[in-house]
Amino acid sequence: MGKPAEPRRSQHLIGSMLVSLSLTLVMAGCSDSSGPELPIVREVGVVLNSVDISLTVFGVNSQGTPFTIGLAPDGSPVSMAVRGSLVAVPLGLVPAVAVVDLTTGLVTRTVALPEGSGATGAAFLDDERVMVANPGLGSVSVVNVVDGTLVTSIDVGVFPQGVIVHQGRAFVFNGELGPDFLPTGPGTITVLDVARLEVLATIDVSGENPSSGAVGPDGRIYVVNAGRFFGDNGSVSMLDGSIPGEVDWQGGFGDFPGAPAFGPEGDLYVPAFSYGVAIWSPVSGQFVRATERAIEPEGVPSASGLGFDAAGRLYTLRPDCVRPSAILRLSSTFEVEATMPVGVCPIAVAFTEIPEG
Amino acid sequence: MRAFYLISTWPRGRPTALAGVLSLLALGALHPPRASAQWPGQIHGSVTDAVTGAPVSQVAVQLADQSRATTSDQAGAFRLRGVDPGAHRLMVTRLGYAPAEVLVSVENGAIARVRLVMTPTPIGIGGLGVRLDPAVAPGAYSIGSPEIRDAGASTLGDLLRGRPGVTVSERGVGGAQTISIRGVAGDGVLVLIDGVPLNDPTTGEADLSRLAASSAEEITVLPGAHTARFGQRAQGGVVLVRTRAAGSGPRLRTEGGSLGRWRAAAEWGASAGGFRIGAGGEASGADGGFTFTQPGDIGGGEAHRRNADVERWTGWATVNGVVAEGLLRLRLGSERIERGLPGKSFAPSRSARQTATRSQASIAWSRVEQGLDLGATLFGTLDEAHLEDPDPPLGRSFDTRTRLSSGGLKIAVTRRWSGIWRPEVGGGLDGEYQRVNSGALSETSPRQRAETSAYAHGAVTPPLGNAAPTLSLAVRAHRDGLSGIWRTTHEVGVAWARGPVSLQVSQRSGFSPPSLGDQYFREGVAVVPNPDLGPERVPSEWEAAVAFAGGRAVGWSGGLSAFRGDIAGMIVWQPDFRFVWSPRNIDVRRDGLEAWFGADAYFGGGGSLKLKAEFSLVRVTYDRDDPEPVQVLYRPRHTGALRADFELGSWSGGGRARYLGARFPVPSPVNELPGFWSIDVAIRHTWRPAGWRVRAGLRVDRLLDQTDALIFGFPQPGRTLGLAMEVQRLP
Repeated sequence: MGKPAEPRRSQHLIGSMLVSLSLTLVMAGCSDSSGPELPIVREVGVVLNSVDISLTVFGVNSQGTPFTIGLAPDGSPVSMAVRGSLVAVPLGLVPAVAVVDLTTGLVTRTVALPEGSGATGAAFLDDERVMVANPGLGSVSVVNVVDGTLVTSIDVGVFPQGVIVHQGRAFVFNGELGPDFLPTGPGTITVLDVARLEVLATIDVSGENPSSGAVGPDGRIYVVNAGRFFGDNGSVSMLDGSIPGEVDWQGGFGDFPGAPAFGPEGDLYVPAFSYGVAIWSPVSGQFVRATERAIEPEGVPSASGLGFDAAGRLYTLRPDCVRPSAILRLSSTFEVEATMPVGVCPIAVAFTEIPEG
Repeated sequence: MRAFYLISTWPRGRPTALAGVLSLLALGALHPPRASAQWPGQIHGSVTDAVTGAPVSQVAVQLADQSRATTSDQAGAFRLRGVDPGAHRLMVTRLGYAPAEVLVSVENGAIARVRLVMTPTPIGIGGLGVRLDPAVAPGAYSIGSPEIRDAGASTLGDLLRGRPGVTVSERGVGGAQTISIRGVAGDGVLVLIDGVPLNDPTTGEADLSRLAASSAEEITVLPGAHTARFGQRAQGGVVLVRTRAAGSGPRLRTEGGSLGRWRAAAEWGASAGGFRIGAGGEASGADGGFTFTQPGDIGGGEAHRRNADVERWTGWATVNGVVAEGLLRLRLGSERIERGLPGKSFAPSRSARQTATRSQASIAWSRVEQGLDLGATLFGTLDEAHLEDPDPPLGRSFDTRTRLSSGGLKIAVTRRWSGIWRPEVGGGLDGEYQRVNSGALSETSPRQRAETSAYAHGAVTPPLGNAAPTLSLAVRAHRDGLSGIWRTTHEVGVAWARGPVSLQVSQRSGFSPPSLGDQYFREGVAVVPNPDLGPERVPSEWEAAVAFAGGRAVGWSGGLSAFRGDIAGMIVWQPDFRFVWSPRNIDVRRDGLEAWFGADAYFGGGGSLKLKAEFSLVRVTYDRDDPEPVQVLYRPRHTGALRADFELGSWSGGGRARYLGARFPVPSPVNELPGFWSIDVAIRHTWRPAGWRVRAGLRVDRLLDQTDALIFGFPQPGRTLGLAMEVQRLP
């Protein structure tokens, strides 16, 4: 581990410029009466509140009041999948996945999963199908969120709890946890063919408790291994979708890191309740902000989730499971520049575009 | 006895049940209600206080064998019309007085006159404590023996469900039942069985499903913070249960119904050597399984409730008599329950089981003289519980055993003077020692604790004429058995009555300590104890109440009680970001009101109709910066009930519609569970073959097939039927 580098603001600026250029082109397209009619969209942030069992939705570029969508009277949701205006939320202890239409602000349907599912971790396979992990059953289920049917279930590893879909393949993160929810050894990743819904391979990773991940600018899958509670053994495994194995591994992510996201400059941002936000550069293989120098939003060394909007702005979640919490938008120097109220115990955030109106 | 045969041989299943119902109704229709030469008589009477000689108003007067009842007026007078000629047992009960009964002979078409004297008795701790005047218990109410008998309830929780200000949380059919009063959870409601706490020290809660309804003679509910009067945990209210004592003769009861429900109870009483001896027992059970529809917001679909069976056994014996010029009561009782723990409907447990046994022995002595009350209660309890689930839906298998033994002594004295201020002072000492061995608790959990408290109380009535107010004060000092910290609580009350109207204002404080489980639960899957947890406290609770009663041909009564008492450090289990649950202290704002109105009408030919409406509003909201106040989870803001009971010749019955308002299952104003009504109806018929009384009844619960429940995930079975038959030898 070398000396952590400072954030590369130039890349951040370039990213912002590209986003602005894209928006300009979209707007230009909208004003071109001779071209195809494009829908007017707006970007929204979606926060999953695990104790409230709800979503908070807010406009990224508007000052409107956030609104809340209740998902179910019971459950323990900690993850969600977003595609366009649809959000799929596995309900944890309740074996079901709630499907929300952000344009109407309603739960359009709740699709039952097999009893004992544990429903945690989901990803859209296409516009209609969602793959949901069943940690209690060692399987994944594919549900059609449009017609509300359970398509099929496929056995994977032990305690699957996260899914990423990339280039026609689904990567299922198997925590390999025992009945006491402690890792029994290093985790595994099950790779499935999305079209045929068949298991292609099972990959051993070096870290314990793989739980979440993100696709990097280089096309690799970056898997966060959360490790054990208070084990200080969080790590990141890197997968190349074409090679059935772990291509690299990086330790030093501290105690129980959460779901990561890539910043506009291509660095991996990893939140943790135990230190805040760490930044690691896949290019240099170095920490930009190691755990001991992690970003501390509001001066508090803790974050329960993070995400980037289309403009490349970083948002972090204030980890408060006792009272309504907040999502914080940070400046390029990681100062809090905006705060919006969310529900109790926000655990995940995502950004998407929905039709205006 | 044909009907008895029908019921006692009734197997589990609806077709046979329906046949039994039809047979019973046919039998009732064929039976002539009254011989044509008989004319109903009346009973006129008065009730006075044994100590002061003053008239006693609001006394519940009831014929034991006819369900006919009324209440005494401000002059202590009462009238019962439409009474069948013959011998009747007349029972009188009132809060703060020992119940009494007398045999009355009514001649054909004549008026029988009786004078009753009621002895003021302390209630709540086995015949001692303090005399409760309205100033300290403005919203109190009692459920007497006839109502308990007619309610068709299996458990103490069934009896209290839907009462004003009371919410009974149930874990499904046959599951644990805990009581919440005025928004305070079960660990802040003290339940005393003959003065002995039923609250489990490991959870702080009293499981009301473990006490058979038939073993209770009278249940008194006192809403409000009454820690100063009754001890710690009496923060949201107190439930005082006086168990059945020696009966007057043999009584048999058997029941059956949907869900494979069955019940058989028997009791017996006799006199020997100046003592009254009684004994009784009950066995009951249910299969508990039923098919239900999962709510659409968790995916819908049909499911079947399994592992929901329950069996209970209850036995008791009492000896009552006069010793050293006082009343001595010795009671031995034991309850055992075996049941499946089916869990939530969406994460059912197929193999979780609970077996629990509680044995209690108590000896209470009290003497009420002119101006001096003395009392003492010595008790011992032994609780054993076994919980196991070899294949839980979540986490590790478990197999834990808990053994709790406790013993205690309560001593009380009250002195009254009949001077112009009518002063009254008293005090007492309570002590209890507990030993706990539980596999559910961590190694660091204390195995023994000693709780002690001392209290004093007083009251005066200034000489201000007929409408003089009564001022009362009580204080108690408690020593926490774990921390050794002393805490004090108090009650101050003013009561005023004139004519049919009475007013009361009270100010009090209360507290409820964390349970052993809160602080020392064995850390496990997704559960972490909190050793630093503090007690719940109600630093100041105000309550104002008005009550009124009147009427002649139609008697009516009503009242309104409003309260405000925030809770500092309410103990609430909440998950953290890892979904690991742990208890925390949170501050809560709390206020509300209870309103009730009732009317009783009596008609010629022995008919009567009673109507009652009750409503409760409880606002229990988080003390935090919410745009709108957010109700604490699973505390319905509104509850209410409408009741109607009738008696027509040998037929009686009634209906009850209960409303449980909307509630939030999460600590935010989302995912609201809508309120719902449930309607129960019952009809009974009584025969009187020579020297005996035979009653048969039919109950339909949740008449409209309602399946909602207070807590999400514990479905109710919809409409159920129950048939009961009781045979009693008349005195």
